Amino acid sequence: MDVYVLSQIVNGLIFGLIYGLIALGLTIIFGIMRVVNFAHGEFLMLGGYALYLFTVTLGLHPLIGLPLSMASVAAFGVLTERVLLRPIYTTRIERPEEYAIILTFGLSLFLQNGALATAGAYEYTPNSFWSGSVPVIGDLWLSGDRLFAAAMAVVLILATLLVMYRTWLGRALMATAQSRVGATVSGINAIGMNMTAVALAGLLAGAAGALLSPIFLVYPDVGVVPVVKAFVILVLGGMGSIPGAVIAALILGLVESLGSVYISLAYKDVYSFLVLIAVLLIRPYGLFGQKERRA
Amino acid sequence: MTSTKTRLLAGLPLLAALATAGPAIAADTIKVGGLAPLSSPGAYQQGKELVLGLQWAVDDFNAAGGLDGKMVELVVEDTQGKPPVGATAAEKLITSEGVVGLAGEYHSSVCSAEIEVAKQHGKPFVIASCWSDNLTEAGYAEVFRTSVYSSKLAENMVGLAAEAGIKKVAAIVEDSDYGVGIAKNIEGAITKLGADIDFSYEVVEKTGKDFVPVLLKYKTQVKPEMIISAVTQPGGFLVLKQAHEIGFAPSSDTLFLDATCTSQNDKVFWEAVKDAGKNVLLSCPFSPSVKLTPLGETIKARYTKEFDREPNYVVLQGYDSMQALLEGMKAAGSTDGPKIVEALKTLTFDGSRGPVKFETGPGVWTQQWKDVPTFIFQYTEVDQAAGDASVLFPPAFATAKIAK
Repeated sequence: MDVYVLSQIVNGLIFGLIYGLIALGLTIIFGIMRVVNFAHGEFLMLGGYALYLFTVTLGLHPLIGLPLSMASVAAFGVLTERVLLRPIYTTRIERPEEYAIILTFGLSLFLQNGALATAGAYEYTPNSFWSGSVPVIGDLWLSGDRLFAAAMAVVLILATLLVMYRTWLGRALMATAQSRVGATVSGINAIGMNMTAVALAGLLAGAAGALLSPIFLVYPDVGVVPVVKAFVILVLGGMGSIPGAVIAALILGLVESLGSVYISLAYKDVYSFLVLIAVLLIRPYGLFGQKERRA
Repeated sequence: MTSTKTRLLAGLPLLAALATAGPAIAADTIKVGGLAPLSSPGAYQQGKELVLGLQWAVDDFNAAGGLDGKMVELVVEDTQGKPPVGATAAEKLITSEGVVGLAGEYHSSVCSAEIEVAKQHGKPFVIASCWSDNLTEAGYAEVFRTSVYSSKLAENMVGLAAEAGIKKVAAIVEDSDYGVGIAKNIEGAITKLGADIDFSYEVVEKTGKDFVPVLLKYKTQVKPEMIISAVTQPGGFLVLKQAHEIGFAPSSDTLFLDATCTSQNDKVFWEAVKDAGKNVLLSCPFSPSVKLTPLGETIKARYTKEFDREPNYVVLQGYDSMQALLEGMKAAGSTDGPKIVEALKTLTFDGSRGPVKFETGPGVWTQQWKDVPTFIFQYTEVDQAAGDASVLFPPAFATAKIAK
């Protein structure tokens, strides 16, 4: 295989891992709570600003700034769940799904404009995790930050899978996702599980935002485009399926990179939607999704 | 509850006073419309600077006595970088706010929609910072432009490349009227100037994040001596960062030229790109290192004092466009749209960057300030101030040769 094509494949896979990290938090919130979080991109943005605050303003090492950024976004997620999302489950709201969509969309606009008003319109670059560039393959050199983000994406994806499939907490979360009533009857605190899901999603969004900020900068609408990709991944992988999201993210990164080489760069963002349409025609529930059973 | 009611009742006279005072205030002022992208997906970073220039022109006009003692009020609408929103904003300013004319805007695609509205209502529109040739080539009587235009920028870039003996140039342009337009203009300039340059370009989505695929293609397959980026902020910053990361440009083999001039906002630029910005070339309508008119120097000093940095070109382009509209109104001695349009056609005034005069044509020069200055600069050190960047082109202003 041509080294040039191989280098594009490697770049596509690395970017796919980054996509996976971005989509993971969104997938968890939807999977557990059935809430489409339109403010997910702004959670990423908050992660980036938090890293800037910890590393540049407060002068902390980025490896210390990363967990602090994750914790900050997780705390914000918990606050969001407590104040804004909880009424969906604890009160008799008509059409709770629509309520959640409007609410998270409004939160997204609020956070973007809040960032514009407080941090200004300009771009910031937090301190690097790994400065400089390294040769990867052929003429492909990539920044240390990009490689670090991809490596951390692997670690965080594996850790999430471990938590979800190998711990009591993960099983409780999945039980709540399957049936809130059934989980409650079995002694699981469904409200607590919601909060846990949002906290987990916040941790992952904070990590993604912080890891990507030295690469793609931080500014008020930095999360707008990535969240669109995350939605494509969410649907492509099967709504709420974590392994599906990871596979879909890798496919997306690969398709975009190879489409750019063999077709045209001008339509890079179109390829993801073409793949999505093609998959949904064959598998309407996505790659790993299942037809929902309703009682 | 009672105290809330009491407070509300107490506030009623104030509300009534405001309601009656509103029309009286409006009747005593002349409204002018300002158009600028102030939110995503528009380049709101530049929109903010643009509005500042528009407002300062209005402030200075009012400080000089306004129009026969009547003060001017600037009403700004956010066009979001979206053509339909721009058209709606222009319509709203004209029909709801009753503005006498429009000035501003940053995105060429949005300007394309707005000039249709200005034409439909017979209101003057002085374009501040939309560079596409198509806008004045349309030949609308109501449309004037004080900013630089793409074909002039393209001729400068090709002129510099030819002078430096560069034979192969590649561009990354955004998917907008401006981006594709500048690529076409570079092709036209190569033909017009008879330059021996092999030129190719790729269109990318301006909201894109990962430009490594195209940069890798250029690095390994095309191997240009100069890469031109016509992607606006923040995408343009990412193109530069990623070109640097993959060891492509700026380098001794490949120059990097920012055609959008967004890198001129030096503090923001260096904060965003860090050492990737060393030896970057900038094609700009202005530089703090170039002598301005007395008015321009005053604006520059005011900006530097207020923001602790030197202004970029957008503030000046905003100022000049609004100044043109206000001077046109003054020359017409009227707030009537068609009369202002007629006055603008023969108007000459000292703008921030030189004496402004609108040509009669043909083509792109239709109601365009033809002699609008434009330059190519180069940052030769990391964290260098825009005012300290070397001037490379035109030759009459050059202070240095290209550094690699």
